[in-house]
Amino acid sequence: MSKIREQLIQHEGQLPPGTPDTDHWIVYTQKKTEAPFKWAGSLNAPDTELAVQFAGEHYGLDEVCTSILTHHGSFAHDGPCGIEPLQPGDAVGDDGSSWCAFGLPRRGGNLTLVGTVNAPDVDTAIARATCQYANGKFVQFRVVPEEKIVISDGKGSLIWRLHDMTYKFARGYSKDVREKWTRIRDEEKYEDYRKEDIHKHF
Amino acid sequence: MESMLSNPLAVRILSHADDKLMLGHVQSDWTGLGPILEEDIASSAMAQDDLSHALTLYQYLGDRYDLDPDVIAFERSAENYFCCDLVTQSDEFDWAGSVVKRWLMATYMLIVIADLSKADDDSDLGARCDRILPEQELQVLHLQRWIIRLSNAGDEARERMQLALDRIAPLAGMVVEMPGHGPSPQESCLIRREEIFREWTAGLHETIKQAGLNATFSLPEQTQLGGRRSRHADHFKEQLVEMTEVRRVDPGASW
Amino acid sequence: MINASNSAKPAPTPSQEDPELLAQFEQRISDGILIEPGDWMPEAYRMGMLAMAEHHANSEIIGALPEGEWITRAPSLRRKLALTAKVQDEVGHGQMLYRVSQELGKSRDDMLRDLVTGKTKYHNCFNYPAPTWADIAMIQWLIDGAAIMNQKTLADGAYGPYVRTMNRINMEEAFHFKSGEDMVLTLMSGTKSQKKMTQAAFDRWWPVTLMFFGPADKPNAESRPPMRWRMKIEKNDSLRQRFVNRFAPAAQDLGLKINIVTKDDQGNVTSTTPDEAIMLDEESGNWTFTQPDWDEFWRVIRGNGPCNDHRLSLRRFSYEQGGWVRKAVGSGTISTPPAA
Repeated sequence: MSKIREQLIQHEGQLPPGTPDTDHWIVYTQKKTEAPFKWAGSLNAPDTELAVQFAGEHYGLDEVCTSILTHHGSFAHDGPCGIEPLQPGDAVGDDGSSWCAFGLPRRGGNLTLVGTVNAPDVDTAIARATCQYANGKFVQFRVVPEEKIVISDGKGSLIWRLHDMTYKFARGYSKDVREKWTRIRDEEKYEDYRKEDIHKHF
Repeated sequence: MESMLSNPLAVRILSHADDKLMLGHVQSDWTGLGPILEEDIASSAMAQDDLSHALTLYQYLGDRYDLDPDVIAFERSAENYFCCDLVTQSDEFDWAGSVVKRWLMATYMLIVIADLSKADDDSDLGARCDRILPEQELQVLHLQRWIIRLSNAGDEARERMQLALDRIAPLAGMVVEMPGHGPSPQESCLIRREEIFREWTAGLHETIKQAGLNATFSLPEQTQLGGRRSRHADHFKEQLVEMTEVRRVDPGASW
Repeated sequence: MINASNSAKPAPTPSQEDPELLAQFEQRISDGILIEPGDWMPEAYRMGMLAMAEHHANSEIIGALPEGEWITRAPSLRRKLALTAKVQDEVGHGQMLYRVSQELGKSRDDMLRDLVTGKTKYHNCFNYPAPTWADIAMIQWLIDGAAIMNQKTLADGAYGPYVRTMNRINMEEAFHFKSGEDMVLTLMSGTKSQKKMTQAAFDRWWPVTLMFFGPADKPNAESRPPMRWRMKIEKNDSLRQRFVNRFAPAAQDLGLKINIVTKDDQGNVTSTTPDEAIMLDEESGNWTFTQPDWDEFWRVIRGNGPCNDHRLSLRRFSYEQGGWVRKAVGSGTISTPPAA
């Protein structure tokens, strides 16, 4: 192993001064063209340029990804989170600027981009998003000014890689593992053992 | 193995693959120790790109010479590796050194991989390099931005970046050393050596200007011998021993 | 930002919270309704979730170190790529879990500082050495296998942001486990020396994995806040039993012997005797087994394990070495350092 990992480094005195956390950015990814953007995670970055780079190199490579949507955390405005799915309401209107609307399908679920609404302010944007998209399918809406959203579609700068990336996914090993196991165990015993696998990822 | 090692084109491809292997080898060791969690993840992704590119090129050679890519990657003696001196340099976990070295190499690799992708008489090689190119472009962009950002981020960061560049720039010209054991490198390659050096350093100077740094790169004399001509520094031999530690436990075993 | 660990005011105990809001909160939890950040929550719940997410994040960051030692030595390009990606995933999990914690009120920088100065803890299993390549296989098969069992239950917890993160993390844990399984199967189908190396690594990691789930819960665990509030879902002994039921017969089928071991201070195995308790109890359907050395568990958790100092000193090196980069990309406003 490299020398730095091998040695027991002696530290003396107090830690040097800390640095404040950089800003919070929220990331949504799209698995294929035309698929909706879904919440992928968050990160810290000082500005848009680094936020987009970091989003691509982390969330853009966790699973197949064609596009990434990123926005600063402070631009996320969340409406109330219901216990039951929200009903549409009657806030209809088309004045004001454009907001992206994200719906939370269930508590503990992932926000999904459902469309846009025009509205003069945050509260109206949430009410109009609820009116237009709730339909009993979402428990909460988030709105973000559309002009504050950055979408990278991989055309200018690559996101998903072109080389064989099966080495970093469970499915890249499943067939070999099954073959190796079934040389020493019968299928029934192997299937019983596999009950604890996280099956949706193979 | 011998027929591969005696073919000038194979040796040239091998030198690029060895560069990629050693770049990925050194940078992947940073995984978990990077300065910012987000950049730790990003630089590890790019180390994986480099290792994958090495694998792509070893696979190309493996297909032609009926060799296992891992045997090509790990089972040559030190004198049959043709990586340049720059990629084997340890950065001692100094982030400035890591960024500068990777930026110099990424910009160089972009030129040589683009060159290989135009190989008219070898569509297989061209297709493989075509898949490497966009990933190489991504690396260049990412690293250029880091060079500019860090060099413009105040005295301490600028000083560290300049020091790293001062340390590394004198070694950089050896990337265009002709690879192999042969006594007289091919004429056509020699002409490209100067062209590539000019194209490469012109690109570097643009970024250096934006970063407000200073550096001079010079084309070494052809008589100067380095890693591409098998004159590896001792630390490369140590790296090779480390890299093959597990394989040597039980030679020939499947891992 | 509220710094939870340095907060001057102790968190209100459940009895000090508004009884009506507390009752409503507990009713929601018992009805299986998840808590989202905008909901009212008792301060003790917020603090508890913060401590849990921070500990989990610390464990991911420190967990990257033992396996990171083997990236430079991985025996094939595919294994080198996979191990790099695996360690990178741990860093990614740490980043996501620190984000969950940041939203509960503590800055990442404070968490990293508290980690390297020993104010906060990380998972005990990373205080053990990984002296051979087979140890990497065992970490991925046994420790990641145990982590999947645990994290699958945590994904059924009550705090929405943690559940979301856990579901994403589990996707990658599936890769870690399969890759480890493939390595173990390859080694145990290999040469005599590979099998010997694998048995020695198994001897080191089997007891550590039994300890992974923690000591037995207190008798009334279900009625205490962690389980009552669904921060913790399944009891430690229950998870441990499920682990043994799955892995003991698998290990035996692979040709591995399950031993009771003694270790020296460096984590080296000094003696092995077959665990005679390993057998299937037909009546209960459970495999019986010998408990690990819980004295050793407490010794290691108190800082006296084989690698505690090593892990923290390397993590501190990384923190200090990267300070200028964080300063360069940050706003340039430097906070007053908390006492180290």
